[in-house]
Order: sequence, then C-alpha cells, then structure tokens
Amino acid sequence: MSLIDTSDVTTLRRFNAETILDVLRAESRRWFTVRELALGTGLSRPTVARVLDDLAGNGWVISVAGTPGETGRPARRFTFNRRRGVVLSYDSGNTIFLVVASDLAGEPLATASRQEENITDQNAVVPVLCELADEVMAKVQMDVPVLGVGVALPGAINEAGVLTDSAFAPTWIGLDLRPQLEEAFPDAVISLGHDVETTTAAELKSGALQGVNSALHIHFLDKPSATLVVDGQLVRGARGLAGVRPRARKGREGHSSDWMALRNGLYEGHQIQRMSALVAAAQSGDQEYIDLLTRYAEGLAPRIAFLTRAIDPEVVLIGGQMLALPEILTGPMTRAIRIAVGREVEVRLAKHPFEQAAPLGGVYAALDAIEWVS
Amino acid sequence: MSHIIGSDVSSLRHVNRAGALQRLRRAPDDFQTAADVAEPLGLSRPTAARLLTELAESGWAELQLAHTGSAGRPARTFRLNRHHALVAAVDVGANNVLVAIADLSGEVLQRSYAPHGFPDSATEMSDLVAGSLRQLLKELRGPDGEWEQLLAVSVSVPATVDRQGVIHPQSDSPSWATQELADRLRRAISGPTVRFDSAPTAALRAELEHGELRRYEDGVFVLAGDITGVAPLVNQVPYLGAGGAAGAIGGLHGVDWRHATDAVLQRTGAHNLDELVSWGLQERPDAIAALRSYTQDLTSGVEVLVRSFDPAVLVLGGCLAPAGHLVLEPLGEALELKLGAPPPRMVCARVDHVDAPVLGGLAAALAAVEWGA
Amino acid sequence: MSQIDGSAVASLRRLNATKVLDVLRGEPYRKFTVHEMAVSTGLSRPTVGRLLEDFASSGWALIAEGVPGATGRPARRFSFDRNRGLIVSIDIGRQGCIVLVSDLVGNELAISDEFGLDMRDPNFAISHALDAVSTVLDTLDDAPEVLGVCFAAPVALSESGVVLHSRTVPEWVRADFGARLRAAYPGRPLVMNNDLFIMAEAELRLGALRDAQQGMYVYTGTFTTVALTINGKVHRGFRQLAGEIGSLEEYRWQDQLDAAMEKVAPGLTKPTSFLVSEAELGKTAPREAISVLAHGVSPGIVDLASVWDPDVVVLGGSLSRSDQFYQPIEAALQEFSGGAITLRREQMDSLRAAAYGGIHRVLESIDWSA
Repeated sequence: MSLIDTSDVTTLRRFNAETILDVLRAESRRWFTVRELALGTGLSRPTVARVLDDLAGNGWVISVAGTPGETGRPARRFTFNRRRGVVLSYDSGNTIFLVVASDLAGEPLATASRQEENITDQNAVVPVLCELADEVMAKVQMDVPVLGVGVALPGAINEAGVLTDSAFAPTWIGLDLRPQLEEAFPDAVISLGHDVETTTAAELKSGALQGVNSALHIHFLDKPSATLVVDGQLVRGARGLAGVRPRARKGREGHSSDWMALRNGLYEGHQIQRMSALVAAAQSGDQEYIDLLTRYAEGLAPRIAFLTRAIDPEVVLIGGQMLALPEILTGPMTRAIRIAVGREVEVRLAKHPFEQAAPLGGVYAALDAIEWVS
Repeated sequence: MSHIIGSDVSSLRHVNRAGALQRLRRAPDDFQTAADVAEPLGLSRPTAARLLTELAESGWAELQLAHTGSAGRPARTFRLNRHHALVAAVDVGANNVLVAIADLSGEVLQRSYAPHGFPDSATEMSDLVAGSLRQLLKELRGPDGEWEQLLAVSVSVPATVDRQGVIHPQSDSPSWATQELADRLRRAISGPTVRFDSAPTAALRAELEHGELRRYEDGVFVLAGDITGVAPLVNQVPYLGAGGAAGAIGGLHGVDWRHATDAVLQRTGAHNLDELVSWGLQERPDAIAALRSYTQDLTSGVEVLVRSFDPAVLVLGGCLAPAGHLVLEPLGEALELKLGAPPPRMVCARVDHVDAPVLGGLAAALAAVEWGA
Repeated sequence: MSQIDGSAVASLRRLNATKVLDVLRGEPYRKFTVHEMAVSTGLSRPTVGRLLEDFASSGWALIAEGVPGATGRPARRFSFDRNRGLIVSIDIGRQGCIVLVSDLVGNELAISDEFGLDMRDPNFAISHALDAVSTVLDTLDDAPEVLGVCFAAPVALSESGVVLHSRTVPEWVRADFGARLRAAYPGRPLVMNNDLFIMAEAELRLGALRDAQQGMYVYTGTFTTVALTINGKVHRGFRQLAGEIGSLEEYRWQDQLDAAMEKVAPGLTKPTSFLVSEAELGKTAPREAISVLAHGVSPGIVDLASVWDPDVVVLGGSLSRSDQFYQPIEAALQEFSGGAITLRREQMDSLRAAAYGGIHRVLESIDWSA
C-alpha cells in the first residue's frame, strides 16, 4: 500500500459541507430543519448545525426562525440561497447572440438577445457578450455577483476551450474566450462548450436522457447534427467531433461528413430557407413544406441508421425544431431505423423545447463548475 | 456498557434494547426467538418480542420467519444485522499506521497498513490517519463510503491515555503523540465516537478478548519492542490512571530502553528485534544469548510492577513474545533473584503482536457503540 | 456457531492469508524470505512464517533453501507455485478452434490452432473444443488440475453464457455454451467473452491502444469487424453490437474479403493469414487482391472514424502485417483527418490476445484461499 499524500487529503469539513449543500440545492425551494438535514445526509445534528453556520456565514444558506405556536421549541429552518448570485448562459453564433440569466438553482430570471451583422473579428465577440450581460443584469435587478458563465459556441472546442473547427463561423477558429471572460467576470467560473453538446447535457441532466446509458441525440435544426452518449456521458471524441458535427473540413459524401449536403439539396429551390419558417409553414398545412420536411426526415433516416449500427445505443433521441412536428419525424425514422438496423430501437422525443435546451445546458455546466465550498 | 442512572422509561427502554442486542451478539450467525432473549433479560416474552421487532425495524436486527413444521403460526426469529454499521480501529505505531474495519459482529472486513514516514506534527499525523481510514472505507463501501457508516473508532498511540481520554506523551513518545492529535482526529472524524488507548492497553484488550488474560482477574501486560509500556489489568478491566501515569508506573521509562535495543542489535547484526527473535528461534547461540541479556534488562522495571500490583499473571507482549521460553526463562530467573521469592506466573501473549492493538481496538470500539440507539 | 471473540481473529487471519498470497502472485518469479514478506504486508514475522508454511503444504507456494551466507543458517525463501494449476482458454469461430493452456501466471504451456473446420453446429463446436482441450492437456507431462476456464467467440452472450446473437455464426443463437463448460469444469471460475472485445481489451491494456483516449480496433480475420473504445474501455453497445457496420449494403465487407480469398485460393478454405503469406512471397495476385480489399474497406473505416472521432485506430489480425493492406487505409485516414488520427498495427498477438485477455480475468476470479 502506498504512502498517503497528506497534501491531497480533503478535509472532512469540506466534504460534509458539500454533502449538505447538495441536499439543499436539490430541493432549492424547501426550508429544512437541522433534523431533516441530518436525516437526509446521515450526518449528526451537531455536525449539520456547525456546517450550516459556516454556509450561512458565506451566504450560501439563509435561515428563518421557526413559526411559533408549534409544540415544543420552533425549529429554525434553512434553505439554499439561490439569489446569492446569478449564472449567465450564452448561446452564440456569429449573427445571433442570446443570454439567459438564471439564479443558482437554474431558474431563468431574464433573457436578452442581439442580432449583429456577421461578426468576423474575434476580438469583437467578448464586448458583445459583456453588453448583453449588462442588459440582462439590468432586467434582473439584483445586485449580486455573476458566479458562473456558460458559453455555447458554434463549433468544436478543445480541452482548453479554444474553438478548433466551425462550419458556421470559420473566422472564429482559434477563438480563445476564456482569458477575456475571466477578466470581464472576475467572480465567475467560466465553462465553454460546443452548442450541440449543451442541449444533450440538458437532456441528460433533466430531460429525456436521464438514466440512459447510451444514446444518439439527433438535432433536427437548420444545420442538422448528432451527438453521442456513452456510459451516461456525452462523448466529445478526441477532437470534439464525435457524432455528426457540422465541420469546416469537408469529408466523404455518405455517412461521414456533416449532413449539410442533404439539407442543401432539399432546400434548394424553395422560397423558405429557415427551419423555423419551414416548420411554421408545415404546421399551417402548406403541403409543399410538409413534403419537404418529410423528405428531409426520410433522407436522414439511413444516416441515422448508420449511426445506430455504429454505436448500438439504448435510445435514439430526436430533438431540434422539428420537435414541433413529431408526426412527420417519428414514423419514417422508426421505420427506416428498423429496416436498416434489423431490429427495434427505442426512439424518444427530447423533453426540453429546443430554444431552452442549449442555454439550459449552459446553466448546468456553469452550476457544476462552481466550487460551492472553498 | 455504562451504568444507567435514573429510572425514566426511555432510559430503561434503552437499557433493554442494548441488552437484547448483546444477547444477539453472542451468536451472530444464529436466529433467536423472543423467548430466548426474554429470559436472561428478565423481561416478559411479549415485551421482548416488541423490542426485537423495533430493533428489526430500525435496522439493528434481521427478522426471519421460522416455519416450525407444525400447524401453528411461523415463529419470528431475530439475528444481529451485522451489516447495519461498521467499527474501526487504528494503531498508530512507531513506524506504521494500521487500520482495520469490522462489521458489528466483529468480523474484520478490511485491513490496511502503510508506513507513516514519521511526520513531525500532530496535524500531519491526524490528516494521515483520517485519510487512511477514509481510503479504507471507500475501498469497502465504494466512492460513497462515509464516516457516518462508522459508529465508533478506537485509536491506539504510543503514549499513555488516562481515563478521561486525555493523551499524555511519555519521554520516548514521538512528537506527534499529543493531545492535539486526539483533538484533531475527533474533529476530522465527525460522526462516530472516537476513543483513544495507549498501545499497551490496546494490546492488553486483545489479549483479554482473544488470548491469555481471559482467565485472570488481574495481571500486568508488558509491551516490549519498538514501543514499550505497561498496561495493568484490575478486576478484568484495564486500569487507566487519572493523571497519565498509568502506563509508566513500572518505572520502565527509567530504563534506557532505546539504548539497550540499539546495543543488542549492533552486537548481533540483526536489523530489528523481530529478526533477533527469529534467529533465536532458529537456535543461533549468539541470538539466544543476546535475548537473554536483553530480557534481563527488563527486570528492574518489571520488579516494581510485581511489587506494586502483586499480579496473578504477567503477560509479555510485543515483538519479543514469539520468543517464548527464550525470554521467559531469563526473566523468571532474574525476577526470582530480585524478589527473593518465586515470580508470578509469566506467559507470552498469544495474539499476534502486530495485529494485537487493532484487535483490541476493535473490541473497544464495539463496546463503545450505543447499541440500539 | 461462532462466538463474538472468534470471528475477529478468524477473519483477520483470512485477510492476512489473502494478502500474502496476493504479494506472492504479484511477483511470481521472486523468492521471498519471511522478512521480506513481513515488510511487504505489514504483518508480523511469526504470522507470515506460519502462513507461508501453510501455503507450502497446501501447494500454493514452493520452498527454496537460501544460499548460506556469512551469518549462519540461510533463510528459507518462498515463491508462488505457478504450476500448481492450469488455465484453459478456448477461442472458437465459424471455421476455427484455438485452445491455449497456461500456468497460473499466464505463461503459455501448450497451444492448438485448427482452421478449416465447419463449426456451425453449436453442439459439435463445443464438443470439438472440449476434445481439443483434452488433447492438448495430454501433451503435457503431469498436467496439474484445471483451475479456471475462459471462453471467447464471436457472439454476444447472456450472463449465464447463452448466445444472444452472433454477427458471424447465426446458427449459434440460443446455444448454451455456458452450461456445457460448467458441466465440463464444475466449480471452476468461468469467464466468457465476445472475442473481438477481449482482443480490443488486450490492446487497451498492454498494446497499441494503451494511450488512446478514443480508439478503434479494426480486426480482419475470417471477418472484418470493429470495436470502439473510449477512456480505456470497450464500448459494447446496448446489444453488444457497437461497431458492426460491415454487413451494411454499402460496405459489404464480408463479400469483399471473400472475393479476395477467391482470387488467391479459389474453392479452398484458407485462413486470412494464407493471403498474407502468399503476398509476402512476392506474388502479384495476392498483393493486388489485398490492395483492392483495403480500398474496399477503408470507406467504412473512415465513416466510422468520422462518427467516433478517435485519436488512434489499430489494425488487428494477420492482414495488419501486410503493407498492401496498411497503406491504403493509412492514406484514407490521413486524408480524412489531416493527420490527426494515428494508425497502428496491433501489438498483441491476435491469435493469443483473446486467450490472454480471458486468462487475466480468470486469475482475478480464482479463490486463492481455498
């Protein structure tokens, strides 16, 4: 047995504090007594009381005296101070920027968005993010620090958070937001992600992928893509390109490259070119667009079948804007997969509406990254 | 188990629950009926049945229906739920930290040992000990292994510990063996009861539980080796002094023990006392002679013990114990000379000397558990 | 049965015995003195001495008298008796049967490798394999008892060893290989695996995938199949079929391989290694056939790599030795990834890799204290 490295040993107090905070955050609207927390965490009451004291001192927990009139001494109650700070979650592309401000329990408080001319200069990105932050914080009207910032980027990122590949913002390749964001938000933990990944993260945490071991997440958007889940976790791949990601480098036709070629072929010649408008048209009964979207689904089916053969997932999850028209999607999808794969595979619909999913994923990423106990 | 003072219903109930569990502990693999338990405790059968059922509901006991084969209702039988919680013992020795974790039946589930590298301060040693214990818990219970699954931890140290649980370092105790170690460990291991023993007392408990001392009312346990000290046994209970002198009353610390040890190792070329003992057992004449003279150096200290306590038995523990007659004979001879009378009965400890402190610690930890609480 | 005081000592004794045996097994070529073992385990000399003597009498340890030195009687030394028992490893496929017998450290003692059989009938297949084991054991002098068995085949298995499905031998579906093996070796640990996964695991543990964050293991033997790896583990998939794209219409890997074999050995049943050895002799036809095959399978490999995003791809099986196979695949991956993907040849001997992977697992499951 090796020597214990004493410099690495986490003190128990911190461990206990994290345990208690986990319980408080999990039911962030609830007011707990010391006894309830002791039962919930398995810790002794004196330990719980001591930790709550510390946490209250740091502002993570607020308390209120018990209501009089109960039998015996009324117990003080404690809750997670979800308004101690704010988390900002950005979804950024080179023309549209969106920010959602949430409290520390992940509940959205306000949003702001900006449409810009195509931003090609990397240095212009953070200023836009900061202006949006000011705008949304003004709406939030809380004088609290920004404790977490999550940014979803339109392309693959490496370990350090630098954008390495993007089909939609090729001029952003090499963008390293972290240092500037750390300067702009000194109290915050920064977490950067590929936008398609954040929606999968949201479904894993609180959506249709909870408890699922392996999955394909198909994003039916303007720019279709697919992300993978293995062992209950998002698979990034060696270069952040696992699944089907729109990428700058063109590859083989067929199953390898991004699915844009299919999409482009289908969209060609039609008046409407944006998915949201296509969906609206189809919903209002326009046959031309119902047909287009049906062909889109059928065209993607063999590609999804390939992915299913490759990964052998437990679940195929369908997300994106096409969620508004499940009847167009699920039929052809399920059939085509069954034919191509030779067996039934469970097909599910994503839980979170597409606009909320990416920012939500960003919020989770930011909340996970915050060190609650120092 | 402590004396119960007062007679309010709750404390009586507490006594009975603990008592019932003690009955179950005697035969941890067997299922017993309420009748089996009621009689020795002086309770009525329905009361015992209710008690046992409560214990089963709170997880202390397991319930099993026994089909007796006759047409009557199946009998409810109960057994200690050994997995309900864990106890641990830590021996912080001259060179190593040894940790053992056991279930409530006393079965050892995991044991670990690691050299501690001689930390300078109580803080470092406390972190090391807490870390080792934590590590072993994780190995046993997976990444969620937590303090709260432990009900009691007993720690043995090379210093004396008085009956208030205060640590008193002796002249040959390492710098980290102080009360500060006890305070820090109690803070670090929050949840379980944490208690302390001197190393010889822990070894004495092991010998009492599993070895030679079961049959005696009183005696003295002498620990000789890397750690030296004395633990008296009075009325079948280890004697803990009030002011920290209990481990030193033999005046053994008056003997320059370290010097004597170094000298004998140098003379014989043995790396440590363990090796010297094994050479003696291999009948090497130089080793036998060295053991003889080394043991006789013990005599003056032991003489004081014998005169003060008049013990029924003297148990020699520590790494000299395996040498058996090679050390007992010279000691007996020298004692007889000094006392002018036959010495008390002398035996070598039966329990393995490396494991003795943790075995004793586990027994003490089990005794410290608030059974049925 | 037991008393309160008995179980602590007995359980500690058991734990200590296991510890000593683990140390012996961990360095199977070392001869330990009692002192050395006491230091390694933190146990007392008398305890260690007693345990080592016990192991020597029960046959798990060997005693060697030490060399006499300056200070008198030499110390006895103890080592793990790796020949106390055998591990049997069986690897069967549609046309072949490999049996490997090893000692308790995993050293190969005997091997038999048959090809060209018709193993499609599952009863025949398992009976033939068990017969092959007997034959191999007979070749050993004084064969000690079999202490563990491992089994690999191109199948997905249930917990109890029933075939759920097979990519290459559909006739085996529902065959209960587990029951036959347990009947042949009652009471012995049995480890059963999909052969591709176990070969990939061997490369992960000790071979070309050792440092891969995300990997692909492309095996070409009688069939071409791919295993996907991530963070040091094989991703098996929900139905243990991950990576199985070769049979899709657009790839038809099996047909391509059959075509290559047909060109070189028309009408004969030969293993893939035959193709490779013919090519190594410099003959044009085999070389061309291999090259055509490589170009035929690389689109599928690239497509998989595009989706899995590996940093390392390993080619396994006898074809990996051939440059005509290696180079076109390397070029295709290079072009696709701009050099970001590394292609390597297998480092583990794939003939034996399945066996070794299984042996390692079996050794972990043996109850050494018995």
